[in-house]
This record gives sequence, C-alpha cells and structure tokens, in this order.
Amino acid sequence: MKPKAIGIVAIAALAILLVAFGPAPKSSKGDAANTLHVTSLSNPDSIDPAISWTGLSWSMQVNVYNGLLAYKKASGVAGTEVVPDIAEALPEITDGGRTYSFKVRKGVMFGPPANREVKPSDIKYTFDRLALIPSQGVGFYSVVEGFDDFMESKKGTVSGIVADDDAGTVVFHLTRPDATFLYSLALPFSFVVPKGTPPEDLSLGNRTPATGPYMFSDYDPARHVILTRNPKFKQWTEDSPDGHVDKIEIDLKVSDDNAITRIMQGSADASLGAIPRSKLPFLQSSKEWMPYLHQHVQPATSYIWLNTQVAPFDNVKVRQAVNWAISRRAFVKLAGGAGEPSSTILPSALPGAPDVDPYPKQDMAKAKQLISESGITPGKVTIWCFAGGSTDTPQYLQAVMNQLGFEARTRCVDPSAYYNVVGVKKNNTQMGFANWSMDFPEGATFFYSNLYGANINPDHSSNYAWYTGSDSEIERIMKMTDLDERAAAWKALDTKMMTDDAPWVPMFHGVKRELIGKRVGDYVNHPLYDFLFMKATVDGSGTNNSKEHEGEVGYEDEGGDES
Amino acid sequence: MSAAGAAPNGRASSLPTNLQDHGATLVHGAKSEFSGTASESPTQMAIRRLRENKIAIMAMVVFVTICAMTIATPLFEQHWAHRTATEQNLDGSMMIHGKKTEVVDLQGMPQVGPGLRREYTFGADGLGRDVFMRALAGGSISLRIGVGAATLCIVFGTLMGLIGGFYGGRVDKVLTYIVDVMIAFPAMLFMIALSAAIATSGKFGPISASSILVPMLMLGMLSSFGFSRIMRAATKELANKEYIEAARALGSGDRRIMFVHLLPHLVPTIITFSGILLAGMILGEAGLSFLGIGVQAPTPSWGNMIADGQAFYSTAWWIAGAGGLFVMVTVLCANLIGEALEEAFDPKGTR
Repeated sequence: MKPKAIGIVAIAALAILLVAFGPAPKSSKGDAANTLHVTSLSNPDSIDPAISWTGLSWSMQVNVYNGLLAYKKASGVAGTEVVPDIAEALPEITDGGRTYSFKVRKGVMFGPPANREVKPSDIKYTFDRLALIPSQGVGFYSVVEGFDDFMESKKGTVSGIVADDDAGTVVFHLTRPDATFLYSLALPFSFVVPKGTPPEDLSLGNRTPATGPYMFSDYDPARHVILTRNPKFKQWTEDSPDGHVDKIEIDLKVSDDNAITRIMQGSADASLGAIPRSKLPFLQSSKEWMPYLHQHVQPATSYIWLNTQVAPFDNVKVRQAVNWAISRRAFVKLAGGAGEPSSTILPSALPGAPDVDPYPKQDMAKAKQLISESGITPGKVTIWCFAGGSTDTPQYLQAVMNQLGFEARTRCVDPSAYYNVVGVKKNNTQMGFANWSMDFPEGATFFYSNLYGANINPDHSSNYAWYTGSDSEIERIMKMTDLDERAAAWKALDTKMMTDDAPWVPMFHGVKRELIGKRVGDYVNHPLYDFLFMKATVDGSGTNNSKEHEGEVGYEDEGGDES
Repeated sequence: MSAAGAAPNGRASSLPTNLQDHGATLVHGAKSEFSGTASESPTQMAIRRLRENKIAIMAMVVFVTICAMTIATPLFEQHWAHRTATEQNLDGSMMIHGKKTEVVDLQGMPQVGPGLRREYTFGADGLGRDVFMRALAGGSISLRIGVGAATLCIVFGTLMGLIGGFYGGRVDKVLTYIVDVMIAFPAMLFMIALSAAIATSGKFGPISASSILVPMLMLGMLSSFGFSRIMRAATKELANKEYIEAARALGSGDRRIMFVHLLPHLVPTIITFSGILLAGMILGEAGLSFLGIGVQAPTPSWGNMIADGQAFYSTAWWIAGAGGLFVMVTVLCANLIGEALEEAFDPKGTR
C-alpha cells in the first residue's frame, strides 16, 4: 500500500472512532432531557381556540392560552371547578343574573409577536371574533346581548359586551339569566386573543400569541406540534401554573399500537390516543408496567349517530330497532373494556344522568319486528368510521345492520377529516360513530351542543343526527337557573328522547386509560383536558406517576399501588 | 433463455410437410434427445417426469386438498362449526375443560384457542368468529384472487410479448418502453395509491371498491408487464424459426401465425411459470390485504386474517398463525409444483 493510501485509511479510521466513541452533541442531549414527548394518531382539527372543538386540540391549547375564567388545573371533580384566570376574581352577577362584571388582572402578557399586556378590549374582541368567523362555539355565547345580531350583520361589535381599558373592566349583558354562563366563559372558545386578530383559522402561519406558559412554535399537520416556553409568561395565581418542561413535542400520525411501544421503549412519555385492546392484557399483568397504567372515569358517551333527516333513519322505528339490535356489552368488549354499557345520552358521571336504561338488553327479535312495522324496505346503509383504529367495531355494527336486513358497508376516514365529512349537511351521511366528552358538568353540554336543532350550522355541525325534535324542551330547560332543577329536567328529557325519538344509539360511557412513561412526574389527568402537560416533569423531580393513582377507576382491583 | 422445448423441438418443427397439420402437434410429435422411449410425446414425457417426482405429487395432493376444502366450505361450515366464516359471537360462551368460558372476554380478548373439537377448531378471533372457517373461506378468496390474477397476468403478458416479439420494430419498441416504464414503478406503492383513490371514489370503473376483482386486477395487470418480457423473448426466438417462414410462405396471415403457430409453442413456458406466478399472486394478495388495501372486511382472506391477528399476536397467536400457515403451505406447494413443472417441461434447465 502506498504511503498516501495508508494516510487516507488512517484518517478515515480516526474519523470513524471519533464518531463512534466521541461525545453526543450537547444540544440534542440537553434538549431531550427536559422535553415531554407525546404522540397522537390524528392531528388537531385546528389549534386556533376560536375554531377547535376537539379534546385533542384543547389538551394542547390549555397550555398556551387563558381566558377570563378557567377550569381548575386538577384531576377528578376538582377539575370541573370554575376559577378566576385573567379575571381578578369571579364576576359580580347583578340584574337578576343578566349582568356579569369582571375586573381584569393587570400584568398578564401576550407572548411574541404581540409582547404586550392583555387589555379588557382584547377580551371583548375575542367574542367579536367568535361571531365573525363564526366559531362552532357561538351557541355558548348567543345569550349575550347583540351576539346573534352581530354574527348576522357583522357590523359594529357585540353590543352586550362593554370593555373599559382605563378602568380595567369588562361587563357582559345577557338577554336572560344563564346558569351555565360561567362554564361557557371558562371554555377554550373564550381564550383571549389580541384585538385585531384576523377572524380566520390561524392554525398555520401567524398563530395567535400565547398568554400561558407555552406557545405553539411549530405545527405541521403531517408531522408534529411543538410547544416551547412563552418568554413573557409569569405565573399570576396557583391556578395559572407555570410549566416544568422546556419543550413539548407532539408527534402526529403515530398509531395507538406504536405509541404504546414507544412509551415502553422510553422514546415517548404519553399518548393522546387510546390503548389498543391487544396491549392491555400485557400491561395489566406486567408488574413493571401496571403502576404506569392510569384509568379515569371520563364524563363521555360513545355513541352511534343516526341521521334523522335521511332514509332509512328518518323513520323513528328504524332508529329504535338499531337501539334494540346492538349489544352494548359487545361494544365495550371491542373497546377493550374501557366503558360502562349504557343507552343513556348523559354519562353517569354527570348530574342528571338517568338511572334507567331505555334499551337495557339486546333484543334482535324486537328490532326485526320494529323494522317490519316501519314499512321500509331495508336497503344500502353506509357506516362512517375512523380510519387507523381497529376495524372490529365498524365490522360488528355492519354485521348487526346486515342481520336487520340492510346491506351495510363501512367507510372509514382519517380522524382529522371525519367530522368535516359527517358534520356537513349536504353530505347526507347516514350513520356513524362519535364520542362526546363534557365541556362542563351540566346536561346542556350534551343536549344543547349536539341535539339542539337551532344550533345546526349546515357547514359544520356537531349535531350529526341533524335532530330537531326536542328544541322547545331544550330551550325551556336552558332558561332554568337552578342547577338541580335543570339536572332533573335533563334526566327526564334524556329518557324521553331516547325512548320516543332515539336519534342516537349510545354504546357506553367512557373510561379513559393512559399509559404514562416511567420518567414522568406530577401526572394530572384533567376531566376536560386529560393529561396536563404543564404540570408534568421529566427530570426526576415531582412524584413519579407510578405512585399517583388517587381517584382512579378499579386500580385497587387490578393490582393496587405497588409503591 | 430459450422457450420451452424450443431447442430440440424447434429443429424438428422445421419439417414443412407437417406444418399443415398443426404447429403444436408437429413439435410435440417430434423426437427429443431427452425422450425416454421412442413412442413418447413431449407431453407424455413431462407427465411421466411429474409422476416420478414424489415431492411434486405430495405438493399437488396438499394443494388440491386445500383448494377442495376452501371451495367446499359453504357446504359444511354449518355442520362442522355451526357458524359461517363471517358470523360473529361476541356475547357467546362455551364449555372448555368443564368451565364456562366467554368466547371474547370483557377486555375484548379471544379466550377460545385451538382444540380438538368441531367448534373453534383453530380458536376464535377478536369478534368471536371461527378461525378455521375463516381460514378456509379466506383461502377460497385468496386462491380465487391468486388464480384470477395469475390468469390475467398470463393473458396480458403473453399478448404483449407475442405482439412485441412477433412484429418487432416500432411496435416492439413502443411496447418495450411501456413495459419499462411500468416495471420501473414501485408496484406496492402504486397499488397503495391506486387503492386509496378507489376507496375514496367507492368504485373502480363499474366495479365496487370492496370487490375482490379490485386486488385481482391490480395484481394481474401490474405483474403482466414483467411476464411479457419473458414471452417477448420466447416469441422472438420462435419467430425466426424456419417453420414460421414456411407458414408465411404458405400464405398464413399474422394473426394465424401468432395464435396458431407461435402460441402453442409458448404453452410449455406458460405452464412452467404458472406455479411460480400463482404463488406470487397469493403472496401479493396476502400483502395487499395485510396492508388493508386488498380484500375488505368482513370478507376473509389469508392476508387480512394475518392483519387481524397482528393485534393479538401475544395472546391469541392462532388468528395470525392460521392465516400464515395456510399462506405458507399453499405458496410452498405452488412453488414446488412450479419447480416440478419446470423440470418436467424443461429438463435441460435452460430457463
């Protein structure tokens, strides 16, 4: 070998040795050390607070934005308590429940690029923007004077909201007393944006400035959402907690199966999806992993919606037949046991949930009798479902529909596109799957949001059944101001609606299961936002999540706290 | 490469006096340097060689048994397993070792594994369906797709090869370019993209997106380009033979030469490749269905059974195991048969 060639070989060998045994790049090591890694099967519908109405997006937004009020950042029932956030205190309610006066806290800052203090006029503009877009959440605020008029005319502003920047106050005038208005003000729809923010979806490009401990620094719908520290954030109360990790990286399009594998390998800390039933036996029997498996009652109902305005489900007997034909226990099995079989709309965790099941047991004979009485000739039916998950649940429903004489086919679409298909009236989708979690602990969150005909937006509705049959009763209950009376009224409506009209086929009330990574400490599962990223630690500080199981479902039965 | 039997038979077939009878008869009736007895035709010789190949006979018996069972499944499924391949049983239970066991437990896990019994002989799947019945019914689908796709591949591949090889010149150039372009496409990615488009529209021309014709057409058509190259080369070699020139001299038209004088000579080549093609198509179907773009649920196929079983591999291994076992055995048999056919028709091993 020539000396020149020997030299080249020696340099190459030295380079290989350096790469192989040299120190890892400091930036990536430090980065990973205090980064929370989360995975998600689908991408959020939007990360603009005025647009989004999915739990996935809200679980990200709660770390970034704030409103006048907030849900306490705690697990269990404590997490449904409304507390002051940008408001200095809960409002003064006068005029027989028609006027809500807030004093706005000083020193709350918008992060980059606004870099200025939040003013009362920003809060007023936030609601103007909701009406201008218009947001899916407008139904929560139509009780504000002038809101509906402004939404229609788009001239001026919402007359019922008066902001005074000098006095630091904002006052809401309502058309009638609304027992749930405080809850509505704590929802992400009312997260504050700077005055002048364009009334359009700002998920991509120029995002709305953060007020919370984190800000969205990147969102690529095909890859990830990245949250980094908001440099302008300073904690103002214990209910506006600062974050612990430096960065939150949410990898999108990761299957539930892969998510669990990644958590077990240590390359992810949590998943925003479900735990596939195939993984459960191992996790539940593993002494190593069982302590990291968390199980919470979720105030949610998993259901099948039936389009009441499209054949064959425009016939009430067909809808009742489907309710009798299915086995709710079978659906729970297909969900890996994550639920309680029920045919009521309101989940058992909510005040006003009926204690009587209108369809207590599968009865195929009765279902077939109803189909025969309906006078229809069963034809083709399309079942809409989410792609990427197990196909067993749609297959089960398909088999049931075929047993009833229909020719059923399944059509599964990407979860991020699903609601944009079934929520558009002209698509005339017949039946499909949905899951609804409470927005606040009151029956309106189910009936007013999903089953009130006057709220239907033909281009973007969450009333997938396009049901209008109980509007007058819902309006009557919405005017009630006593929460106990309302709970009793929702209970009666639930039973009546399911018995007489059956726009839904409720399957079960959910239980949320999460596998949390071994290094995560100070784990909090919020009833509305699930895993609170801002509270979590990954550097070994805080109480390890394997030791936090307070209030979890059946944990004692499944092995107990092994600490 | 030479076409099947072309080297020995080609010489014999050049006798113009026999041409008027039939090209194929002429070739097969000729003596071969590999013939065992003087009176044996090449076909008889191939059959004899096949019969002497014990492994091939065993493979054929197993293959035919699998085919027969899969085709006959609808006749006996209700008598054997008391349920069809698609019938679910999520809420059912059965006695196992004297203990009442839910077919699928409350966590959604299949609890009934394989056993020496008529119901759930190969166990239950995640919807409480009988895995044995699904494997047989799925086999019928997988084999239908395999045979259909292999047939399509042979028909189109042979036609393209025959035309290109016979005409040569511009026609051949154009066909070669098309084949080159199609072969350059990554077939699996192409099929995934095509399936996504078909699923979105719900139809593939007049065919429903969930029809088994969709994977059959995709596999058959895409594979035919590769196969056409083999047929083109075989045709080119045959087209220069003297008996073709003689046929032309006797006034035979292009179509007659291609389909009466050339095509019969390509048959041995087609036969030898058919086993390998069938095995490839069965594997292709399994791959497509495993990815969720082949046979659509609830219709069973070996591929989607493996996909279904993937979720339960650690606790209910029998779901994917049954699908995998049937694919493996059938493909092995098809390959062994293909190899035996090749040895029988091309003992020189020129292929």
